[in-house]
Amino acid sequence: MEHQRLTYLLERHLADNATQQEQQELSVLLKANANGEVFKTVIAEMMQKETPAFPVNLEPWQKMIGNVVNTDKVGYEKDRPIGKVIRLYRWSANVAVLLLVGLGIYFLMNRLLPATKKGNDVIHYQVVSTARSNQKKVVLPDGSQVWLNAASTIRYPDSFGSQERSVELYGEAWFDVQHDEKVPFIIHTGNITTRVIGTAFDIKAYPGQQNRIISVQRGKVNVMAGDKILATLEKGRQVRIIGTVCEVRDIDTVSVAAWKLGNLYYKDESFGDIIADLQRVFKDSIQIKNNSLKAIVTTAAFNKDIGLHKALEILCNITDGRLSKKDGIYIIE
Amino acid sequence: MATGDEQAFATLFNLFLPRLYPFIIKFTRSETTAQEIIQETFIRVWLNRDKLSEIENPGGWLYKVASNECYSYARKRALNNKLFNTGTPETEQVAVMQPALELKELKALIHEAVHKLPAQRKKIYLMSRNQGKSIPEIAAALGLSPNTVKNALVISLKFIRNYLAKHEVILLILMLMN
Repeated sequence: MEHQRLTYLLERHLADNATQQEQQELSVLLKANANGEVFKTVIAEMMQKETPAFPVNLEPWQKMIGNVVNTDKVGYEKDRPIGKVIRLYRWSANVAVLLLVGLGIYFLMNRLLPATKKGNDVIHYQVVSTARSNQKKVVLPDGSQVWLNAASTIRYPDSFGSQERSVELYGEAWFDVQHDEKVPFIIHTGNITTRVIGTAFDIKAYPGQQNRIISVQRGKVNVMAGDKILATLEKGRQVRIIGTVCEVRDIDTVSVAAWKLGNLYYKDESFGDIIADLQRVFKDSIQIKNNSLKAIVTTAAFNKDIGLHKALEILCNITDGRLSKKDGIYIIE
Repeated sequence: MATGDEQAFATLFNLFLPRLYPFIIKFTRSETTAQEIIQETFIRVWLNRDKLSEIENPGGWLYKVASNECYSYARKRALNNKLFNTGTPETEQVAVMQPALELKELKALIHEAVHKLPAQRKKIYLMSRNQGKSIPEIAAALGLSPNTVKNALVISLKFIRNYLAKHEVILLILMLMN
């Protein structure tokens, strides 16, 4: 069977403009035993040509990760609570290569996604990741600077096209973007995109974290979900996106990406998110025993140099939590 | 590191979900079916996680697994004399996972397989998967070398795959790998 004909038929099907006759033809081809390999090849080719996009409703997909990794756990009558599974996500960006000993899904993202085809040009990507307790500075092809916080990953092409400058971020990073009015700079974080022309700002979007936070230090930023503008931010403004709710407020520009200097600055953040952050900054594990504690909204600021123990003491003081350490794990209850 | 694997898997999932989803949703025109196909794909990836490092082009391999799933789905429909769905994709509510996606049968088979493992291997497996202990932790607890623990885990995973293959659950993947 012809590869070309099948590509044509499937393209018609995807575009939803196949005639009844073409649908019939596709059906007949599917039924024939001999066509399997060609079908699979064509499908794989077409799949890779599609422009990447996240589903609108991410929730069931995030649950799926838990379902899948739980398949080979035994003696679990019920799946692990979702919360726990999603919590794993917070570290997900520590990326494999650094962490994986053991059975290891040992993969280099570079190897995984060596190239994407766009028209006739092959785009090669760079992937840079940080481990927990680690930061990295990255200079993008257009000269824009990115400061990657702990447990984060950024993926960008070897060279940007003439239409837009697109990067993907998992985790937190501070951007200082080269001004170019004609070529917008776009950061994809899950289903949220942030568009800028030239500015300095911070994005915090760790998978699994309740809030996504974008804070602007300089210039102007558009935050979008699909085609819809969620917020337009100027200098000294911050948006928090919690599910579909957006909350814009004023911030002190000095606090934007204070983490670059080792300053940990939390304003009205949930205790759970702060602890998740501390686990990325320091390598230790911290467990919060009661859920009610996690939801407490807290404001705190300190420098990383005071050490985790001191930092936790301060936080427990504020939240009335009790701190203990067992088997090398901090426990707060 | 057992949890490390899960974290890495989550990253992998989030990296590829946006790459698989646009095609599959247009191909099936059903959010539920797209979920099923993508879940099947990632289960195969997960159960072959020890091999990912040996595969020369893991990205290409993942697309191959996904395209296999798409083809099987379409062929099944054709053989049942159902045409491809037409019209706009269903906008069904998908907040709750369908029971079909709960994977009861697969889990039951894996359960059986694990209980057929020799005692020591089973113990190591359970410490790794159920208790989330790392290889060095297991090695220390059982007085074994980390390498022994690692090998035991690789062998167990292989055994589980073979067991599933015998029950034709995951035959496809083995064909792909060979």
